[in-house]
Amino acid sequence: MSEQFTPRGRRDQQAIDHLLADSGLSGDAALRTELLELRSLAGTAPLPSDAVRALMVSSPAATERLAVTEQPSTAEGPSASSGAPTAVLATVAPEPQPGSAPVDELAARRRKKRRAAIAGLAVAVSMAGGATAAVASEGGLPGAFQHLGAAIGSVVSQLNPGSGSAPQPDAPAGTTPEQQVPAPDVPQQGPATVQPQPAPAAPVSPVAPEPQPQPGGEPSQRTPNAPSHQEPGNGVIPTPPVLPVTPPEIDPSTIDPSKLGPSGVPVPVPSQLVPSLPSRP
Amino acid sequence: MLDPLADEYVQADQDDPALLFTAAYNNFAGPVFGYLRARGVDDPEAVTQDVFLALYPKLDSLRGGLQGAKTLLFTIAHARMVDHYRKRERTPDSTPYEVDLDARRSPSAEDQAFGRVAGLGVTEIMDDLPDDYREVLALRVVADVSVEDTAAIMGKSQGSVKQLQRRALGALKKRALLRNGTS
Repeated sequence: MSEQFTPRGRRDQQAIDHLLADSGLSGDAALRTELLELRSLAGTAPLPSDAVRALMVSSPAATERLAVTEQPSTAEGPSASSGAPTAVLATVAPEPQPGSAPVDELAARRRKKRRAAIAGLAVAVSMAGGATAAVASEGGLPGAFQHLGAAIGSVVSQLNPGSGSAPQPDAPAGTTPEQQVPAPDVPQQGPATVQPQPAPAAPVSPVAPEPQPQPGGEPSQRTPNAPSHQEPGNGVIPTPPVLPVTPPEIDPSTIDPSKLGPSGVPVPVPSQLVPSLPSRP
Repeated sequence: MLDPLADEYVQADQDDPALLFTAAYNNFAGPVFGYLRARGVDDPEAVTQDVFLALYPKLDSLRGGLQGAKTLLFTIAHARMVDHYRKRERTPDSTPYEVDLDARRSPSAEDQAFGRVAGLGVTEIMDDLPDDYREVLALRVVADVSVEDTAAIMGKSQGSVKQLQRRALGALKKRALLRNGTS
């Protein structure tokens, strides 16, 4: 029996003897036997699991180095040739798995965090863009184009020194064009910037009646607009009959502007846009 | 005891945690496994793997080479064992009755012949001991941990550990005499 324990067993016996001597029980053979049996519980080492094996030395060179460092100890004395642990290492050596699993895990976690931040930013930007588009386009896509064109036109007119008017920058982009632009102005700006077709005439039509009473001082500006509304594309819109700047029986050319007095009707806002109108004819 | 040359080797290569981890597993997997078995932990093999997996992230800040790794390993193993018993206290034992798992039966002659060699009889003796006695015996005898480290792991002074060890050995002697007398 004692030959089987040779290296490790002798070491265990020495440790048990030392323990018994410390406790004053050095001569107790029965207890010594029990303690040696208890000690034998540590003799079996379980094989490393896959996760543990992945963290152990994997390269053959490192295994050889470890084996070389353990060999001189076997030559020196019995304390080094503990068979079971070395056998465990031999089973571990051929596994080709890298030992950097925690590092990769950390990097993957950081990458995941960064990806989540970028995705959140993209979602926020897209939601803001969508909300802006929804606010700007109450009338659908053509309305959005018209609003865009009107906004660009207002910016351009603001940059031009001649057309600097106060209310334009104050009002929001969606409302200013409709308020300030009388019937003749919208076909002027809309086609110039965005669409050349009578599509912008649709929002113009409700606005058109407003300037009718007001531009009494400038009948010559209204006359060119009447033909434009009578184009075949605008036949659907019933606004032209409402529009008559001057009654049909009155010839605008015969009106003497000096005889015309103030009508007494309060003139709404569109009088501010008059500077842009003379340039048209 | 610890292999001094292996300790020197690991001290020289402290910058490579994989080497230290491999040496620690080769040297201490058996004692950790035996300690967990002596303390009656369910599935000691799996808990041994968990203990070593918990050791690896702490190797960078570890000092003392293999000896330091040994102290840290048994500290972790002790904590796992305490967790096991706390969990067992909270969990009611609701497993169905199985004959193979019934520990109240008497072992066969074959079990006595082979199981005793494998140390099963010793764990039965230790089951009857108080918890402190079992702990100090598992650490000092099975795991071969020094008095200082045992005191640190158990949270006691070295004097009380020595006293506890003496009493535990006396109690174990009585149980051994009783068992040898009856069997």
